[in-house]
Amino acid sequence: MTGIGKLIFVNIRRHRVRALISVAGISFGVAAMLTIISVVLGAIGMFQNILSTESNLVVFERNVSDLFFSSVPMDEVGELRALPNVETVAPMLVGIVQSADHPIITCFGVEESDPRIAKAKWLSGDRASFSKEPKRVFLGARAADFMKVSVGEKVQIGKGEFEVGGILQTKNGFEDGGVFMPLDLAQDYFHRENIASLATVKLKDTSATAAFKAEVTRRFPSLMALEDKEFNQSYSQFRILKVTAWAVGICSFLLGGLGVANTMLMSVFSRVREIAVLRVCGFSKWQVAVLVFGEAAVLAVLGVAAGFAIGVGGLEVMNAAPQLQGYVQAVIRLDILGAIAVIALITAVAGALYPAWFASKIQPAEALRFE
Amino acid sequence: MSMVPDPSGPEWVIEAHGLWKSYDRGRIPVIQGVDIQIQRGEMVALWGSSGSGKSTLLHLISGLDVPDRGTVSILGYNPLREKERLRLRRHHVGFVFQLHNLIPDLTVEENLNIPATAAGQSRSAAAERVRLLTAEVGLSHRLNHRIQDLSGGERQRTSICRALMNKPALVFADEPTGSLDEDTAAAVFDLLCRLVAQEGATVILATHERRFMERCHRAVRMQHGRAVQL
Repeated sequence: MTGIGKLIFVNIRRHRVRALISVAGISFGVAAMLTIISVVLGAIGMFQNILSTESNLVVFERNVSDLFFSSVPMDEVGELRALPNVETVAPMLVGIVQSADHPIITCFGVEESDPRIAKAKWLSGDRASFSKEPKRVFLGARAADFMKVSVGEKVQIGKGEFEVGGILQTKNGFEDGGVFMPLDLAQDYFHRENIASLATVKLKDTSATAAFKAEVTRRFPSLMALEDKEFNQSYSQFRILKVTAWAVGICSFLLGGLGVANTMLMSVFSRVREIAVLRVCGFSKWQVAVLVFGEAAVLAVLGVAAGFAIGVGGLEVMNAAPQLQGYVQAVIRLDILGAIAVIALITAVAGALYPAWFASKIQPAEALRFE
Repeated sequence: MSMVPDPSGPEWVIEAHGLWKSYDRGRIPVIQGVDIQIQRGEMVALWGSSGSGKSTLLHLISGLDVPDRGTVSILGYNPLREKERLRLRRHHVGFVFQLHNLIPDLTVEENLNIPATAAGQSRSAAAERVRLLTAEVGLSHRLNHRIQDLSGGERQRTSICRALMNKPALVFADEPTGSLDEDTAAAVFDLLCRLVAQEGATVILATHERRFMERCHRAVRMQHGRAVQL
């Protein structure tokens, strides 16, 4: 390697510890951003899967901030079923309860014909027994695992005691760590008689989706129907989660950027004389700035690589951790990795702006005057 | 002023008139109304005691620094303009300093490549030039050694090679032997004289040592910021 590239690497090698600290700053920012965004996207994806199983639309209460507070009367579910283009309607009541040692367990009240039940792999028990007996619940595989119960045993969920009717496995962490109840049992348990939180709808002809949405608006003023994609974009909880994830990530990057700025400033201040010599040898102001930017970019690249390694490693640990009950199913997307890498580079280069400007302004005569 | 000098070249490679320079917002006058002209091929000594202004004058007439007042022309370039100053440094002038000012973590070869990189020389041309110059100064066996592993004399020889990398028309040497012992200083000075003669360069040397001043074609004595022709 010759020329400017060599000078960049020589300077990084010369101040290894300083460079390492800077790389660590960037890598922690990258890892934090990757972890937060991947976990949030994973969580959103899981929730979205619950809603979109075998359906095209979600119908829920208009202007509700959270689906847990949404109320869709069962009479209106019946009317939805009667609409001409509707193939299936699957109402669901969602609730959260506590269990011994587990502060949060999600309960899904669904009908026997619900596609989520139909698609699951039954590890024990029988799908045919769903809804047949009172006070009988069906556990996701992880829920059964952390509650340490099997079919036929009693399980305490909130203030109620239920018999385990079956254990089913799904690919969705929320469902797998949750409790399925017959819808009428859930309505009774959560004191929401004749109410569902939402209804997922599958249409016979998806080209008439707009007409269906308009019909829902016309016939049920308190409800709204959204396509799965629309729901993902407009559901306020998802938006809050995404914005929070990016905000936290960018804040951690700003800290990393300050680290780079500090490192580059120190780097420039400690070799004013050397930069002056480069200028004397014919380096332009731009070439000197490229040196500083190049050094920052190398630090950023190293930081991004280390950050990805830390982040992916951390996510793997979180995915595998039994304590998290499968609620973390991180989604690592290439576009997110790309965006994080670009943000890290921009942050590092921005951190090098002032040091590069300072370096390019060094006057050789002044810097070399005091030999 | 044209960026490209007359191909036949001016008779004077350096022309400076009415140069004034002060520090600390004018409170410390360093150069006071100096006129100086230097011909192609000359070896000129700026001679004087410490603080007489010889280094500052060297900086002003080499384009390293700009005067408060006065005009300077170097090979027809106006060093007050950044673009022309840059072109001068890249292609037409070389510098040797008292403290070699080499980059200690780089090898001899890498240090010599710096001016070549700035000038955009090809790798092969630069490598050939490095080979030639280091052979001339007896540093061929030190090419891959880092500067911190060299002796004082070897460092200054490397510094001279660096100044000559881009075949400059002008070499400015600011007390090039000031940090060396007597014998090494003499050897380095001999080497400088021999190399610049071979290269056909004009040399302007700032020195306080009479023995080196006397070996130049001409000397300008600096006293309290004023030039006295000897």
